[in-house]
Amino acid sequence: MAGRRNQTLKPRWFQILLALSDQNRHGSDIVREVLAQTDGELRLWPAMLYGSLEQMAAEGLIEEVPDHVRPEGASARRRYFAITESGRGVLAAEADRLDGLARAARAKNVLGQERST
Amino acid sequence: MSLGLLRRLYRRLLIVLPADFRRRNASAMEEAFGEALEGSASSRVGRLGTLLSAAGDVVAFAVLARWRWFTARRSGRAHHSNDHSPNKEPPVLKALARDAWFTIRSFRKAPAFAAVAILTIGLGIGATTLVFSVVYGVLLRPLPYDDSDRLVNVWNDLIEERQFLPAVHPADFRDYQQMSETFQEFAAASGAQAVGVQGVLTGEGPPQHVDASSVTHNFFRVLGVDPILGRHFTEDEEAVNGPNVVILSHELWSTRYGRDSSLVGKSVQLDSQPYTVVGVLPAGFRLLLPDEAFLVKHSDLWVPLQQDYNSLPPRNWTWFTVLGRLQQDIHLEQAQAEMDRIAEELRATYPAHANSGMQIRLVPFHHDIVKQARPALLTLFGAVGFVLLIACANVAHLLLLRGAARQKELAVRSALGASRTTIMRQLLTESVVIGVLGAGFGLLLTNGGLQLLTALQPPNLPRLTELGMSGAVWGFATAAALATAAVFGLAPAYHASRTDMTDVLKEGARSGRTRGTMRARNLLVIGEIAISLVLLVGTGLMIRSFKALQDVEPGFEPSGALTFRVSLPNSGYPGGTEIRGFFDELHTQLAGLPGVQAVGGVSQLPLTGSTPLWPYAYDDETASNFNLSADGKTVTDGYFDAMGARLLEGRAFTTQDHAQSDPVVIVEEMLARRAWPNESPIGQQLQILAANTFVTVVGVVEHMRNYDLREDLREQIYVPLSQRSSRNVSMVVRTAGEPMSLAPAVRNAVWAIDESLPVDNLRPLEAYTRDAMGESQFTLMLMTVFGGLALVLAAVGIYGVISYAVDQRSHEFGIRIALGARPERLVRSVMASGTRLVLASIGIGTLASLALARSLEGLLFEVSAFDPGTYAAVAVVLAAVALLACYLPARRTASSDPVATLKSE
Repeated sequence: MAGRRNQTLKPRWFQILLALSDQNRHGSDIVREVLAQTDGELRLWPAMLYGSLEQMAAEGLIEEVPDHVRPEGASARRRYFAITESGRGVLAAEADRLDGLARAARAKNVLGQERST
Repeated sequence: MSLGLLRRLYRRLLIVLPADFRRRNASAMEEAFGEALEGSASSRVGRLGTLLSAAGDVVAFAVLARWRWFTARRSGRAHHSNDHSPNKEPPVLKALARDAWFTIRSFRKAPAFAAVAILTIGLGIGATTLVFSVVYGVLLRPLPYDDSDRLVNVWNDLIEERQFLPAVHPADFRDYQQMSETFQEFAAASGAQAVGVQGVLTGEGPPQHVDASSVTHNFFRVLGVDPILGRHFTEDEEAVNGPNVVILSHELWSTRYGRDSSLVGKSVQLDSQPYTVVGVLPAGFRLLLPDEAFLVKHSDLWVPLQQDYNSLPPRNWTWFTVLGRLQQDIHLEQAQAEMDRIAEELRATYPAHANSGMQIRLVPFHHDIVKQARPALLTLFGAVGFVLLIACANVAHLLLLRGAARQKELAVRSALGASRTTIMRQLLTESVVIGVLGAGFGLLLTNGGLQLLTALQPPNLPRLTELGMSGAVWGFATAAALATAAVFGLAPAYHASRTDMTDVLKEGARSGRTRGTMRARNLLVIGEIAISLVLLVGTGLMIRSFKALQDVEPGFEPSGALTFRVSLPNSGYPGGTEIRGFFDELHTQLAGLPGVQAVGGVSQLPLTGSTPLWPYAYDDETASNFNLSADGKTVTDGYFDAMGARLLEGRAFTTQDHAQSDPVVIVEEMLARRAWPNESPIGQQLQILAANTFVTVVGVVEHMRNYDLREDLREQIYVPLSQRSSRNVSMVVRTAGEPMSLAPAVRNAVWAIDESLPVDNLRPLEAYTRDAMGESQFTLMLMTVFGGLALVLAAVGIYGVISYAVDQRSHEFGIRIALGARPERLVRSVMASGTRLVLASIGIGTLASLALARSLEGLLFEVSAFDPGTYAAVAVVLAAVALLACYLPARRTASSDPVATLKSE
């Protein structure tokens, strides 16, 4: 995990962490949330989604929610995921980095072109 | 296709994933796929698109996971990698992976074979995937509107008037809203002129003319598109003399107003009046409409359709574009049945509808938009499929050769204990590797091709901006790679694995001459040449058709004229006097420019879409129904001269025709023939626009093709601008020099009179005829590329086969020459067998072409799909190329030194 902070986070991973930041979600719920977050730009198809989730779990960014703490009545086929402390840290660091970039861009007046006429 | 079936297909597909990943995730993935299916459009096509995208996702992930495993293993980390890597693979997958690795290494020893095979398959897959991506993007993918399957376009067919347009009378539109129960909602749109808006933006920045349309308040809601800023129009804003409000396109908001998010609620200067901006549409929103749509078009600026429903012309005047959203769970047939009943009721109530035999026709929105492009795209898809087959045949042939050359190697492996299955699996893996690498190369080609297409912007290809490398395209390329690998790999692999290995080892070096392989090769060549012939016949017919289209006389002289459009705002030009004054002045200015031969103006140039229809009558009988209609245009004095249209009888308009003089018209030949077949039309009376509005015919002009270069469609009526003014006028300036060189002078001439006026659409007149041919040109271009590709591949194929056959006989030739045979005789004998092959292929190809010809008919113009000249020419060219490909290897062997040949054996 030590090296993670110096790398940029894959956009897909960033969106997944963001989707999990406010509540635990299962796969399809993550797909919907990411769609909403990106105005429909990023659609996570199942294989890439679960591939990413497993890799992220292996890196300790998220963890699978054990059966006994799943929401009541949840389908047994669904796997629920939660963000870890480490995941929160990485998410915050990446958001910070993006914010820095956006600020730099705004300072050079390349963002949104605030009425040049 | 049922949801259950699609889910089952998806479940099957998951087999390609690493096993333990699949075990952990398969059921969750199926569930996610099921939700994606339910969320996608309810049409079969929409679901298929979802399946293709999901398939691309699975295959891409499977490849990626295995790639990671390989790289991890190579760097010795396999047992450290996390647990979804396939390190507990079942033996078959492991063996496959090993075979693939082995194959890639073996290509290093035969780089020429590998390169040729991969490039050939790559060309085939690339071309096919490119056409597929267009077919998918245009024909298959749902429209970019919410739940677009439920959108329907409403057409009115006025049978007696031979008018079939997606256009509706405003009062009918209201009636549909009240009477229909199968529709959730109807919405209408029309040109901005219908509500008196020209679309001239002033204020900040230079004056700019933008495309504008008017829409009912619910229009974007019915489409399923919401503004990203602000709101929709409200019903109150639709009232006559309602507030001045606009909704802007994202593009206009970005380019002219710098994405100022505080613009909503502020006003902009439109036609010198303040209009409040109430909304901004999302980026990438395009209003897609069928080509026949009337007045309304994709616009940068939208105003409410403030139509006065209390004062309307007769019901056979149609100028609303109406679309409807079907109720959930209502089928098109149910809605059509209801609309048939409504049409019947309207015909019973309104004489105008009874006389015109009005019928309402519902057309699914998607179908309406792509119907023109569909036949050409499907033909191209078929054609490119043939190219892929030829590529497969060539590679199959290469593999047969390679199999023959490797017989010894395979025999040794088999002697060392490799089973037949093992050998066949390894050979098949080789095909799959070629297929997959070829697909990789092909995808690069597809990507380049798509960029080229977007840059070329073929006219009449709808939805061009939506094309891209979607998941479906990746899925298709993957499927194509595997399918082609099966097509070109199965037979050679089976063949090679079946050969009796002991014989091979015993026989010695000269191998691969069994009768079976030779027959297989001959069949491949026959197939290739026959398919090429089919493709080349298609290309030939297209070329002839395109030539015929180029030779069409459109009724005017397209070359040597510059055109541009001027729109006069209400402010500054309140009435006819000011408008006429402006155009008189402009005429004088333009005529004075050096090199200018004639100047004229018209309310709408030919070949620029639908023209307003004017009802007319020429005698008592036609006046009683008043249901004939013609394309109506307002023109200035010099228009016919400037267009280079011939005046057939009478005179052109002059300065003597003015507001106070008798109203006059000029008609074109179709109308003249219909109304006065046996007498001169000059001096006859015509009623136009409304009953008892009499005008005198003073001239007859040639028919100008107005909608389509292919046919005369409707009669045409011209009135002078001095008697019926128009604010939107396209000027035509005929010049001795290069038309575009006049552009700066023309702009200055307009601005010398009024510097606030925008000068738009500065283009040569020729550009419009070129656009009208664009669709044919696009199809022709691709067909020519595919035909050429087929010809080259087929020539290479036959060269390879004959060359190989000749090489195999070089021993025999050496002996025969040594015994005194003349080289020419040997060449002749090789040529004879080549000729037999070529003749058989041409026979089969001709029959196949004849069988397929009918599918081309819709794309051809003035050429029969059975045109014997084209068939003969193609057969001769193909035979010449094929025989040349036979002659070269025959000649080479016959002229080689027999002693050297025999020694080398």
